[in-house]
Amino acid sequence: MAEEMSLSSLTLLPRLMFYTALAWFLAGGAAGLLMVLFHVTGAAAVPAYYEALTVHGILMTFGGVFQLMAGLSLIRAGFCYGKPIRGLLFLSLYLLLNISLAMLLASALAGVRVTYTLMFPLPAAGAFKGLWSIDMLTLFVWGVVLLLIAIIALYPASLAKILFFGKTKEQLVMERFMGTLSPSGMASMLPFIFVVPPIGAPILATAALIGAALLGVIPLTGISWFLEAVNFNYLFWPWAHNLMEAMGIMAIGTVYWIIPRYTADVEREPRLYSEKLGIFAIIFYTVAAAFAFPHHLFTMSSTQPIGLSYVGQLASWLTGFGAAFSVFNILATGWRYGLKIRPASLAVLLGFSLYVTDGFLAMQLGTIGWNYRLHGTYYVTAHLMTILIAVTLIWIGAVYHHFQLLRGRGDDEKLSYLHIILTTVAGFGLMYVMATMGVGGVPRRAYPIPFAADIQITLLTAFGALLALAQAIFIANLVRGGGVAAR
Amino acid sequence: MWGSSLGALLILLYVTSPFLVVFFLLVFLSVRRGRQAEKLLNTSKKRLAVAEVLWLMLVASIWTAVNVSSLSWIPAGVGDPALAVPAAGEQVLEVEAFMWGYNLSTTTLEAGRPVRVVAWSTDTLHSTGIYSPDGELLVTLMLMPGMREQVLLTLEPGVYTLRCLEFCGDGHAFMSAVFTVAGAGGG
Ligand code: HEM
Ligand SMILES: [Cu+2]
Ligand SMILES: [Cu+2]
Repeated sequence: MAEEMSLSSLTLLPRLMFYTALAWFLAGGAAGLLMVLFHVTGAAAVPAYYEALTVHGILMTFGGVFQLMAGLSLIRAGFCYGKPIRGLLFLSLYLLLNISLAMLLASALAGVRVTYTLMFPLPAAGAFKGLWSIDMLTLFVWGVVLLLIAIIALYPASLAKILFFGKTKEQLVMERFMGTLSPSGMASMLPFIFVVPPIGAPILATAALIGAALLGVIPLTGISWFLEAVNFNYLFWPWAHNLMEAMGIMAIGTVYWIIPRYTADVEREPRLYSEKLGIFAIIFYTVAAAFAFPHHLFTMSSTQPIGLSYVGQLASWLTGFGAAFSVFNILATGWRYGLKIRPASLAVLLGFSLYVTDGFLAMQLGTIGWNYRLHGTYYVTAHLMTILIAVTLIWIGAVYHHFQLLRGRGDDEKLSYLHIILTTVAGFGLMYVMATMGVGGVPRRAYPIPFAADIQITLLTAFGALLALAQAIFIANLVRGGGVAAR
Repeated sequence: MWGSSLGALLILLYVTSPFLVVFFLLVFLSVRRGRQAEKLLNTSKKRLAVAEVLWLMLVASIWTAVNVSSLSWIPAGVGDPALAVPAAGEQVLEVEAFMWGYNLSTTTLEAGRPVRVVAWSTDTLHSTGIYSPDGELLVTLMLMPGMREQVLLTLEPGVYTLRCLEFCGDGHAFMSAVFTVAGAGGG
């Protein structure tokens, strides 16, 4: 009984985060389907489309993917270190994250349609033009501030607390202790703990200053430096880029963690083919990623110094080298020790294949010459949606790995396989269709699309529906499940 | 050719499809090997080390090929101080972007003389994507308020379209303008 109690002291909050992430995924996914339906029918008013777009981007990225990752990574760290996940820090992470999302959702529905990347200075310019009210803008900005606090302060602090503080409770250790320096252990969490907070702090300060100015607490003139579009964007993009990279590295760490646990050779302690190469890849990738952000601003032909652009291109391509080390390591692990296909390992492998494929597309966008011909088109949407779907699929592997703990019973493996395979097909389908649209020059975030793109829109609808169907199967699996797991 | 957007799609397909085939083949073979314990025991470490080197060499050559060739795909006038100031014989197309449209300094240009596009935004983040007469996106410039961007183009005769490619509010999809490049010799 005591053990039961302490196990739930570890799983309760992460489970709550998992279910909340699912709810946001559903709401955000509905907005995504609505968008393609708007394109098909052409029936929506323009503002309705952009509200759906803003809601979709915010909910999928932060409510869905980030929260899924947060919940599952906390569970994983907790099991490795035998630490409970309860107390003020963890609770405030959960509450602040979701309160901030509710604020952003409310302000977007009330008209602040600026996309999840803000497009600064659009929030201000739109308010100036009367597209949305200053009040709703203020709500939006404070939503951003709270979201930033959750992402760059509370979440890294939560991870750090588990990794570095408190006593290990042996009965909570569900998987062997692997330590912070092992790639199949916690090494992939270190960038989030040590890189995201310092890079995020300036943008959090900026958002808070703007929020304070909107409330009239400080004069707008006092923060005019931050309101310069160039200054803001050169603070924003290093943060946004490294946040995504830190999430990507966590996903790679999940691959490193899951795959060795599904090898045929069950006697041996689960390890990668080469732990050394694994740690090297993580460090290499983290360092390269830190310098890649100029790729977001390549097309400012005269404003961004060409030297900075070259640094951005080289760093972007170096992250690809980091991924090449991981590809070898994972495949060699399977080859050396034999692979067992179960829902967890299949989801991770398919998610990883999607991740690497998209990684190449991303490096193309990280190439100055190509960027001048693809920036702002659906090629970019292809990249960001694929990376998010890939990361999600990898973490879904972690869900299947922990299914018993999350649901108290096993999954129905047939449903699990169906869910994973359909999600993968839809992910690849959306990626290649959107890439084709991008090459045709179709502007992203454009409604109505100022081009003939009926075929592509029909395909997007089909793959979108397939993705939705797959998640319906997932939910059926979660609700009904199978018998007792035979892992 | 490879530097165009179509080139990007072709290279995407050429690189990712063989990768995916080999990836899934190796996964399949690894599952099969897993059922034969003696095979696993006899895995040659040497062969794996060779495979690692070959794989990294393959990645490195694609890496180098793209990074080196891509230098020539960068549009003219970017990062070259010699081209930052207008030269004799150039035509200038000034593009002022606003919510939601463009003011152009002229809508007719001549073929055969370089065109210097100078663009800026008066209100929020916009861009100006320049589409060729057959609809190909030739170049896009991100326009941040307060900044001016330029690029040098050599254009064939025809009707060119400008479109905004940075989301700038409700009128984003309607932001466009056209200009004509007339054939040399008053065609
Ligand atoms: C895990 C699943 C998904 C994630 C994480 C995701 C995430 C995103 C994000 C972050 C954006 C960018 C929004 C922006 O540009 O401001 C986006 C765009 C888009 N999403 Fe999704 N999405 C997912 C699934 C879907 C589904 C099921 C559909 C329906 C077919 C869909 C349709 C779209 C469309 C059409 C756009 C582009 C909109 C535009 O540029 O005008 N997405 N998605
Ligand atoms: Cu980036
Ligand atoms: Cu615009």
